[in-house]
Amino acid sequence: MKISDITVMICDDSPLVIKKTGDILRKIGVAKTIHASDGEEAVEQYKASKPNLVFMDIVMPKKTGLEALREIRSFDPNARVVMASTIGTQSNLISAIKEGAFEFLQKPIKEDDILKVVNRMLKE
Amino acid sequence: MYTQLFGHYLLNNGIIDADELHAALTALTRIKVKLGSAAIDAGYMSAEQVEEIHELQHTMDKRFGELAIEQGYLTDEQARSLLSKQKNSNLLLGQALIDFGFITNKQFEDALNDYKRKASLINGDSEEERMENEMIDVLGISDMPDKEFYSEYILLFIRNLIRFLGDDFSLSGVSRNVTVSMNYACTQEITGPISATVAIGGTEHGFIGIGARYSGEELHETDGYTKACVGELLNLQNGLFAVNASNSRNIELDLKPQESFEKYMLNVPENGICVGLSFSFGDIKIAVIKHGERTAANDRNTEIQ
Repeated sequence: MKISDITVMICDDSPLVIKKTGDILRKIGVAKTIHASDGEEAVEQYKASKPNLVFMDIVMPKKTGLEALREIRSFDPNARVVMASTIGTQSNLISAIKEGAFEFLQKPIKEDDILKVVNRMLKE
Repeated sequence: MYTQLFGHYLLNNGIIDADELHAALTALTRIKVKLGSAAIDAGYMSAEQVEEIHELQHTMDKRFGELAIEQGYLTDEQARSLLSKQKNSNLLLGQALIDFGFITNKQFEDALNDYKRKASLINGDSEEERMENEMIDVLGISDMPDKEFYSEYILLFIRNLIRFLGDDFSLSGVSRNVTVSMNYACTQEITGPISATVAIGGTEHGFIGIGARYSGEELHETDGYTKACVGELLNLQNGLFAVNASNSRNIELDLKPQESFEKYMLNVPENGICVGLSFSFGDIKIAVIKHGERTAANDRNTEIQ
């Protein structure tokens, strides 16, 4: 699979984060991005679109990112969901990994981090 | 940082007024060289390395020099040499005020000596502790039971404002036991062992200015996007506060999603604080109310009851 073939979903309640992350994804060659602005919408969008990779904020309205991750993983155990939070602590990292996150990143997410995650996904 | 505190001292002591301080600080940003630029100029670091350190500052509450040393881009000696060139920022502020004709050389000399004398009386085991104690003094909160929390929180916020918005601002006022109103505001709740409500906002110009500077984009309206930009700055501040609490005190904090409001009113109690800041783009306010702190001793008492 090539980078231009994948679909990436960005889940964040901030339009700024959706825009900045989307800009980086397009810059590195991702052609299709979709987005959700709360945890509930994230689960619905995932089920409808089955994106190859998801960037998910932890602090979101309606459902938290961790709750959405749990539901997405029970629907699709192979889902690759990257959890992101401004609270880059050991305990948040452990919670995310326990729930089956593909990766944990501290926000704001940098271009290098996104590139590394996308390359890791493409290799797998 | 020190420029803002010295500026506040001059303002508080009636040596200059808010407009004069504002004019001097605006002039200062045009001539003051940031540490990263000074490092490039000295040939110590490349532009890419400086950019990398700026990126790292989004995720770690550390000073530029400290991170550059950790990454192996600067030696201790190089960092010290660059910092010594920066430390004369109070002199630059004084020079700008004298050049504008707002104060005389004698007034500046007396004020600087008095400021230094007062600052030298503030003690602390580390530089950080000394700065937090200085902040308690500047905010006038030495009588508050939670003064350490407020000092640490506001100090971190001021550092983040300098990092992400710029240092062309002055402290225009500190209030407690007051109803604070903001035309536009973003709020966020900190939950966990320490719980608090935090709001940032201000006038229309102030609010748009925060969003525009933080996003690095031209913004002209107080629309959803501008609100999201201000909200992300608040989220970043609280995220870094939570990371610091986890690293230094082993306390795990959580955050609720940010909310935005128009014509926002908040009752700040006696054990709360509202700090007014005057930027060149407009006035802003930061209000913080700590609701409580759960300690192991508190938890034991609750269990016994």
